Amino acid sequence: MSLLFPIMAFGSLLVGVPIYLHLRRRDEKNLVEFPTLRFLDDQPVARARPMWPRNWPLMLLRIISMLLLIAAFTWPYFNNEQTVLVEESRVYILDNTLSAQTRAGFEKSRNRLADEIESSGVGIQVGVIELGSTAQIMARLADGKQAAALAVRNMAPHSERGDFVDAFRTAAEMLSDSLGAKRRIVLLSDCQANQWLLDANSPPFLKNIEVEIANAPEIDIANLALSTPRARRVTRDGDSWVEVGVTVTLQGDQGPSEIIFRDRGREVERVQLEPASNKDDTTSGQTDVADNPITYGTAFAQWKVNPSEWTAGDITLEGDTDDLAGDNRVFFSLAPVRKGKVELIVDSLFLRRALSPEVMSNRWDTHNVLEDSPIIRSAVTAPDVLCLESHRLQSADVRSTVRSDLSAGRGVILFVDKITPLISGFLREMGIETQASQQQPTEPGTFRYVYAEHPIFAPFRTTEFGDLAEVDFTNYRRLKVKDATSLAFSEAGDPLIFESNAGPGRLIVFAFAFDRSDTNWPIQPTFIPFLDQTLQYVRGESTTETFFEPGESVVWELPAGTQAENIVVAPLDPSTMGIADGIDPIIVEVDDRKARFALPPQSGHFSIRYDLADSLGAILDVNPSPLESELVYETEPRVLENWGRSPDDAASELTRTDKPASDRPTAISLSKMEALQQMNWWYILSAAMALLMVETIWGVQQDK
Amino acid sequence: MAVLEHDRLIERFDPKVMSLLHTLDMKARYLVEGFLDGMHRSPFHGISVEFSEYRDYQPGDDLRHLDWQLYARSNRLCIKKYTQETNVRVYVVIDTSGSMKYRGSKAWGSKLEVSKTLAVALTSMMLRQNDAVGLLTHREPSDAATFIRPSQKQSQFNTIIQQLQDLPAAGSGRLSDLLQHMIRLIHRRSIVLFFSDLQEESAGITEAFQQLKFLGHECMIFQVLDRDELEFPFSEPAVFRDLENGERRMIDPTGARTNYLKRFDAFMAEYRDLFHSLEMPHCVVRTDTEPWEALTLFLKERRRLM
Repeated sequence: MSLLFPIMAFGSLLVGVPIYLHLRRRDEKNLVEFPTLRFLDDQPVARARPMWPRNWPLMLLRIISMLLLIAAFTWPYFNNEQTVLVEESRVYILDNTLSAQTRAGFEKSRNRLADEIESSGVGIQVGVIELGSTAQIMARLADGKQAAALAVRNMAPHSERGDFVDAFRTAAEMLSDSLGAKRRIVLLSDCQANQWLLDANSPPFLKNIEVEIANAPEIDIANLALSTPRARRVTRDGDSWVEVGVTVTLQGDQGPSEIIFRDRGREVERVQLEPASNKDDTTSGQTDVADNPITYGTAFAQWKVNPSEWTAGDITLEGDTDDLAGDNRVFFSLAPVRKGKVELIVDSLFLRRALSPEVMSNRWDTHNVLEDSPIIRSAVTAPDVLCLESHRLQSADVRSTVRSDLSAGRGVILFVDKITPLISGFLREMGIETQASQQQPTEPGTFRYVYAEHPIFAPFRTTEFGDLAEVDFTNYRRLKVKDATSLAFSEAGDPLIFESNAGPGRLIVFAFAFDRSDTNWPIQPTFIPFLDQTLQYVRGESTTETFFEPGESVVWELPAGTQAENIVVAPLDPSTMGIADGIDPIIVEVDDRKARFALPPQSGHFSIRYDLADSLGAILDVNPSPLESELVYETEPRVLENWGRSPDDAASELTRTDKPASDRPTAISLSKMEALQQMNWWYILSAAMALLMVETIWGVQQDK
Repeated sequence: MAVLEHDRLIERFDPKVMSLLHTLDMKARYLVEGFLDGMHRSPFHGISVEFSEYRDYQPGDDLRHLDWQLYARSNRLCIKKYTQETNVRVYVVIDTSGSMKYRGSKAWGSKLEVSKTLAVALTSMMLRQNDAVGLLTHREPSDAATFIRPSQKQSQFNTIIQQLQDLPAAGSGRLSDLLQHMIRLIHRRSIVLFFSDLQEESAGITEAFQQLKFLGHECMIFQVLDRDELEFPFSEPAVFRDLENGERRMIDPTGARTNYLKRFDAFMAEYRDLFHSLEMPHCVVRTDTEPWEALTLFLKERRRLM
């Protein structure tokens, strides 16, 4: 116990309170307030002692009450045989990302850490942080070492991806409240180079903290990894097929390996990877480290499926030598096809062809409405999506149909090929205005900007479905937003695609027609996938991403037409499409049609069911980050200097010039909770309270 | 002119009764009624208006002004015509320095309470004779002076009472501030009734009173003092604390009395000389005795100024 300890210093000040109150309440005797003091001289008469205590017992009672209160609250901090001096506060960061499992590295680090905690000296405070997708404190500095060691031994390896900066910040925060003269962070990690990259230019936050990187880097790594599975349905000769591609990462010397594709637990294809052909088989490649090159390749497979059923498969890599087994399996899934109905009120031959049964079989049934045909609506015949060109809006019947479809929650896609005052009025009603000047671009132009996060553009962020930059526009109508959202812009800055907020149904408006006089899009490879994606979107299909990494936070939005109070997230057994054993299901409450939850730290398939229903709502594909397969290490990162780590010399200087550890405030071997539970504490506190009560009653009586 | 019978007046004032009265209104009424009752003839009866001449009654004239005695004698309906006396503007100025808070053991009120009572009593008398009365004082914690413009309305009495009712005494150096405010605010020739203990260095005050005199105002100084200040009757050693600046001094009264009285007399003489040289009526009002002298002085001066 030291006077430097804040509670003690504060408590000492409190002792003065009752004395002051006591003296303050004493009336001054023989005090005359007089208006003509200036005519009187000060006379050296023995001064009365107005500040002398009058009621000794009452004052003593107050002082004892305060002393007891102070004693009660400082009790846990008094020195006794259980108290130890803290020389060092040490926070261990245990890397539990996927790459740390290389050559059983995580198990080694975990056991080493547990042993080190158990054998650490009594003058060392220990805290433990687990680095997964986020940094989690497993043991605080005030916790007991046995509990910390137990928590460490119980850690299971995870497949998450996390950056070091998060863990170091958490550790620095823990150390800022620590008692030790020496503050140290010990990193137990494989020190993957790409884990240091985030926040490399962060302002310094490791001032006066030593950092020790405990592990030696692994050398001669040999690793085969799978990542980023991609699956899509295609229709070929009237049959529905699934095409699956996966990125293969090769590092170091490899023996013969096989890639096995499974669908719902059944093996559907096996691809041999020969060592000699590994690097030749790549579609793209790059070398990260001169003496340990990483090469990327792609493997494909396809097989027939029933389009009305879920596809839930995995791809497994089996090889002779692999230092990291956790990245040898990835998961993919495809929702069953739900055939939709489209009503076409268009003249564009490209649209009619694209939505013909030959192209869109198993996906869309199309009904063409001719120029003079009546539009009939009933519960049976109502389409999911209405596609029309703006010149058909001249008909009141068509305008009324669009309004009623939107009101009924159905989707509408409008291609503006013509503008008349009547059409302008209708567009204004939909939140879009026509610009006064309709001057057209003189040169063909492409998209200048597209809202890539929007579901209709999301699949085109990679070039797998083609490149939107190849789409040219030679003509379009100049529209502007009134109460809508612009999704794409021309090179001249004019909005080309809009989403209107006019009704419950979704409305996408194109400022051009799918016609060669307006654009070359219909002859681009992106046309059919884009059209399909847009139709699916306006139909109200769930557009929430289903690809995640282990431990990732998810905000799940209920699909249109689904009502649920809870969702159940559970591991999926693909062979039975039921709930798999091993991980407990998570039940999450739905708030404002959204459910927020964190995925388990393991990869795999996870099902989403609504309100404990048996039917599947969605399948989430949880796969490790491809970054975790880049087994390149950096054990002396310069970024630590940016973060403000004390260099070794400075750290030792700090230790020498700082106060001796024995003069520093002490820590307790008991936790605060244990200290509070001591009966003595309660006795002292009760006595203080009782005395204060007596004092109050006595004081009141005295005043009377 | 009213005749004052001093003995009868003394009988009509009891300091104990005065100290038991809580509101200013009641105190003032007690004072005025007692004072007026002690005179043979009310000094206010017909004071504010003077009979001028008769004229024949015209339909529509106020019947209250008909001279019924003349009608009885001569069977003639005549209306009495009166000449309204000159409107006099009177300002009541009350010093609220901390020293005015003092109330001795024999006093019927603190110096401020006595000042307020006298001021209200005089206000009541002045309003009865159609004088316009205003007020200037200072109210803590605001630095600005409180000013009520002179008015002849009867409601002015309540306005002034309301202002004075809970007026506290606090601070120091208020006297010279008030005088400066007076000089700035009063433009027409007026009567200024000044209530203060004058416990302030006289240099600034002298100059201010000289200015008031130069501007043509008639000032009456009511110096309100307590018996303790005048006689210093203390006997036990005690700590004396100044009411204005909080300064403390340890005093043995037996040894200090002679010097105190000497200095106090000098202080009083200085002001007496000042007001004598400026021809300003100066009346010392004791808080433990009846204030008739002050009221008489006022009436005497009031008549002189007419």
